Order: sequence, then C-alpha cells, then structure tokens
Amino acid sequence: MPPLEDILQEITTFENHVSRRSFLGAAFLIAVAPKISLGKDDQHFLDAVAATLIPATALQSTGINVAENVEHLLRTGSAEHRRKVTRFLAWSQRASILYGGEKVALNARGSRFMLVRKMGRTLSSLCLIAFWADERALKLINDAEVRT
Amino acid sequence: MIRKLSSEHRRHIVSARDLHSSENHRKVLTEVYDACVIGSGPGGAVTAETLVQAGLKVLLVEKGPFIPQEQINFRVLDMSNRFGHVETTSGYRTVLYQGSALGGSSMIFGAVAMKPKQFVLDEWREKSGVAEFNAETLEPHYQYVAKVMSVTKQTSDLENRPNAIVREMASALGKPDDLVLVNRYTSACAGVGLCNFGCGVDLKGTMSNSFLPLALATEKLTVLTDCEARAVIGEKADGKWTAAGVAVSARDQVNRDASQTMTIKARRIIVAAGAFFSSAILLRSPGFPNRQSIGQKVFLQPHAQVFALFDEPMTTRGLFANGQYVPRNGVPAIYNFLGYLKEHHFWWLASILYPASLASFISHLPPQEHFEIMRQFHRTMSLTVTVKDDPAKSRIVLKDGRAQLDFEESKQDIESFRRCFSIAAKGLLAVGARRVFLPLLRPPVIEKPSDLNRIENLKFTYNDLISYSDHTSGGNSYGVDARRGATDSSGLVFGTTNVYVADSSLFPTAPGVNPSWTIMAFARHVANGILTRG
Repeated sequence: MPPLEDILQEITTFENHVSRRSFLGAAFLIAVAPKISLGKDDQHFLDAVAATLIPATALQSTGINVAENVEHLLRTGSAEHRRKVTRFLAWSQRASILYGGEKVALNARGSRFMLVRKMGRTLSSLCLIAFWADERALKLINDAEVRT
Repeated sequence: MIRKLSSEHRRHIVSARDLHSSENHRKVLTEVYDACVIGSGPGGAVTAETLVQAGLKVLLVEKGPFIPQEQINFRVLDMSNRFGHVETTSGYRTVLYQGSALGGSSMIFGAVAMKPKQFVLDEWREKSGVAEFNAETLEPHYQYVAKVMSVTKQTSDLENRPNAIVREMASALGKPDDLVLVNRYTSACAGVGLCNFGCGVDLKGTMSNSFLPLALATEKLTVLTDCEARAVIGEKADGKWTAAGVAVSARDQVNRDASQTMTIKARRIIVAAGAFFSSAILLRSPGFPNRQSIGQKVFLQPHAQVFALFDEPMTTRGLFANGQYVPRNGVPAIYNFLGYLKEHHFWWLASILYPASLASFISHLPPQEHFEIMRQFHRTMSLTVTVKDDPAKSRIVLKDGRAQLDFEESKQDIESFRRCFSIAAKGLLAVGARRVFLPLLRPPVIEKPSDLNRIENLKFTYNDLISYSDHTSGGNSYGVDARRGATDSSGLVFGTTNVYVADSSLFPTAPGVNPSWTIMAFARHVANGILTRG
C-alpha cells in the first residue's frame, strides 16, 4: 500500500482511539476545528519535528522542506484526507506540550499509552515519507553507495 | 495487449459533475439502460464488456475520477493518494485499501494473476452447497480474460535479486517445489516497481487499457465517473423485488464530497463495487429483500511486509529520462511461495519497495539508525506476506448510512501471522539477511537464529500489527439457497428479479491467492447468465 495511504490509516486508527477513550480524548483536547490546509503553525511544527528525525546535514544538502512536501502530498488527496491530517497535526501539537515540544515524535515512542505511541509513529512516518518521497533524497542513497 | 483509450473512446466517458453542461450529457439521466453496472474494476469492467459485446446498452458508474495515462508519472509525491480509497475496520484493527478511479483496483494492484487452489474450490463447494460451479465452469472465462489482459507466465530469466532471495528461501526451508512462477497481466514489464500508482510506462494490464477500450469501441457503453452509487431503487411485486434504477450522487473532484443526487434508470443492476461497497449499496437500498444475508462474513486476506537488510545490493538505482527519475526496482514478483498455504494459511512473494515505503515502515527506529538504513536502501528487500483468513467476526454494517466493517480477527489468524513471521525470518536469515524487520509497532530485533525465539513469545493482536488488506472478499457469497448465500450461482440476488453481484463479494471464503483473475472470470460468468436469462 502506498505510504501516504498508510499514514491516513494510522491517523484514522488514532482518531478512533481518541473517540473511544474519554480520558485520553480529554488529554488530547478533542475539540479541534478542522482545516483544509496547513497553517503557519503546522508548517513550523512539522519542520521542527522533522529536524529531530532527519540529520541537519541531510536536510541542508538536499534542500528538502518537509512541510512543503506534506502540503504537496495533501493537495492531491480529498478534503476529507486533508482534514484528517490537519486535525492530527493539531492534536500532536497539543500533545507536544507534555512530550518535549518538537521532540514529541521521539518521546511519544516510550509512552506507556498505546495511543501516544501510535501518535509518535504516525507523526514520524509523515515527516519521513515527506522527506524520502522526494527524489532529491536519492542523492543520499547514491552517495552512500559510491562511498562503499 | 495494451489498448489505448483513444479520444473517440473518451467521448463516452462523462464526469457526473458535467451532467448538466450539455444536452448530450443530460441524456444519461433520461435514457433507460439495459443494464447499469456499479464499479469499473475487474468485476464491473468485464461485466460491462460482455454485455455491450452482446448488444446491450450499458451505463457504467464509477465513484472515482478518470485519470488519463498521460497524467501518470513516477513521482511518489504526485501519485500518492490519487487511485485508492482507505477504510478501516470499525474495531480500528486493520485497513482496507480499494481502488477509487476509473479501472478500480486494477489501477493499484501488482498485476499478479492466479487461480485458487483445488482445496479452496472444495471449500467453496462445501460452504455454498453449489456442486455444478467448479474449475471447469470457470476455465473458459479464465481463458478469455487471459487473452484480453495478456496474462503471461513469468520466466526465471526475469529474476531480480529479491526474487532470487525468495527462491533461495524456499530451498533453505526445504520446500523448493512449493515455489511457483506466477502469471502477470503484462507481457513486457519494465521493472519500474511502482504498480501501486497506475504504472507510469503503461505496460501493466488494467481495466483502462483492456476491457474498457474494447467495450467503449462498441459505442454501447457510457461511463459515468465521479459518481457514487448510493442505493438500488425498486419495489416488490408478486413476491419478488424488481429494481428500476440506481440513486447516485455526483462527487466533487477536489473535495470528493457527494452532492447532487440523481437517479439512473436501468432494466438490470449489476453491483460490482468491491466487497466493501457492494454490500453497503445493497444494505442502503430501501425495502431490499433478504437483508440478513447481505454483508455477512467478509474476508480480508490481510497483508503485512517483512523487510530485511542484506550486505549485498538487492535493487539498482533508476535513471533520469525526460526530466523524470524513473526507478528500476525490478519486476516485483515472479514467484509465489505457497509452501504453507494449505497447512498454515499464508503465502508470500517479493514485493515492491521504494524509499518512502521503507522510511515509513522503519519509522520506529532511532533517527541515526533510521538514516543509516535508508542510506542502504538498495540493500533492502521486502516480502509481502498474506494470510488466508477466517475472522471471528467480520460483517458490513451501516452506521448513519455509512458502511463499516464490524471486525474481529480470530486466534487462528494471529497464529498464522506469528508462524509466518517466524518461518519468513528463519528463511531470510538462512539466505544471508543481516537483520529482519517485522511489521509490528514494537518489533523484536531479529539478527541471528537464536532471536527467532522472541517471535514465538510475542503476544499481539491486529492492533499491534502494521497490516492492510486489498483482497477484501465475501459478504454476498453465492449459495444453493438464501440460507447458504446472498445470491444464486449466477450472481442473481435471492428475492430479486434483476439485481446481480459481480465482484469478489461472491466468494464463499477467502481465495488464498491474488483474487483479480477469479473476479474477472466470475464477472464473465455472471454476465453470460444475464444474457442467457434475457
């Protein structure tokens, strides 16, 4: 299954978890107004999270902007999918207050709550797909091959 | 043989959003068609083609858009999220992935053509009580599909390194005879490895380059895209329910939200929207008979991917051509390993891998480790493992008019996955894998044979498994009577005079192989039955 579809599935399972568990739902502050495109806050958040997952040298040498690529991926999909992703980002930003700010994707992996672990994995996947789906990232693979 | 959708063919493809833009388009709403086929995937396209070749006037309704071949490229960033539709089970345990574009699931499949094994056909006979429907009944239909779709037996000279690994694994596990060369819907695969995105080089057989051009050439077929079938409209008379048409909604291309409800009038309705949506359409139909038989016992055949890292290259880098990067990941699967299908209900094949899919799969790793493995992308390979499932609970239900799959896996299916992971990991280590990655939220590290014990001790449910299904089947299985199935062996829904099912929802159990060839054979069988009935 293509990776973005995989992300949408993970977000849906995450949403189902939130709606089924009132305590955790409250922790994530359920009422998030859906948007159909990424706001400035979302872009800053995505770039900051991506910087914790991808080496700075890789981001610099390829010139890839993760938030721009997420926006591009969403543009090809439906409004429903865009709303899912923006709502998920809003939740993640709120959770980041408890889980180390921009390090939320990494810190959430160690949580005792399965819901938080799923959020961490989904957020990581979204940023990593947006980076590695860009052909400019192939340079990193090809350079490594030449070295070895 | 690949057939192009010419400009003449495209004249008969109308978006529902344009229905009110011209007199010609408005005719779609006033015409009474001989048949309305819902869904343009392998079931719907083959049914439509058979009916129009016999002279019937047919309207084919497709929920997704028409994506012309010239718009398909090799950029994952552009092609993601365009051809498919994602649903999850109500228990949020796994995902259903279906085609949602003209051509249906043929736009996203890996083009593997297989027939069910005899033990599956025996299961179908036992479950349905239908004795006369067997391999011989289906064979002429398989042959016809094979001719139109260029079904081609793969040859060992196409073997790339991931396929060689699958072959070596079969020997290492002591089952070399259980490796079969598959058939594929292509006679000249370029080995790009992006079959999930429609095939940018147009060498994969899909409905859009086979049955649909043939059907459109007759000028008896009109295709209505961006149009969601909501319900079959009809009424009961003389103890039987007779359909008069289909309630449809135009879907906005950008928002894909339904709007503008209309009615299509037709003398026969053939539902072929895939196992998930076909049941939903029938359940939404007011006054529809035998509702208790609709949407019952759906099978997923869930897939998961087992990745492995090797010391040697598995794939090669692609090429830049005409300003585009064209990957060269090799022919995706030439072998299917069926060594444990009958006994333990799983099989595997070498699957398509590209950097974004690997990045997502191993996203649980620490950043530096993730980056180092990504840099060794060409030394990785993946197996798609598939379980022939028998869920504890799995039925389509409506919640606020929206379909959901009420689902719970069985212990037996979990055990099949565990055994599969254990045997696959053992095989991969035996042929030189440095590390094996299992599709679990918290996978154990598997680097040496003694690590295999960790798989035996794993406790997991589908919640912990990173799995998906694009082989959904069942729900409207055929049977000898209404107690044994939702339709008779010709696909006619019990209690109706003119509503048929022609897709994988007819299967009485999971097919145990890739289902598309059998779906097409069934669809032709259903269409021939309609023609015989008159």
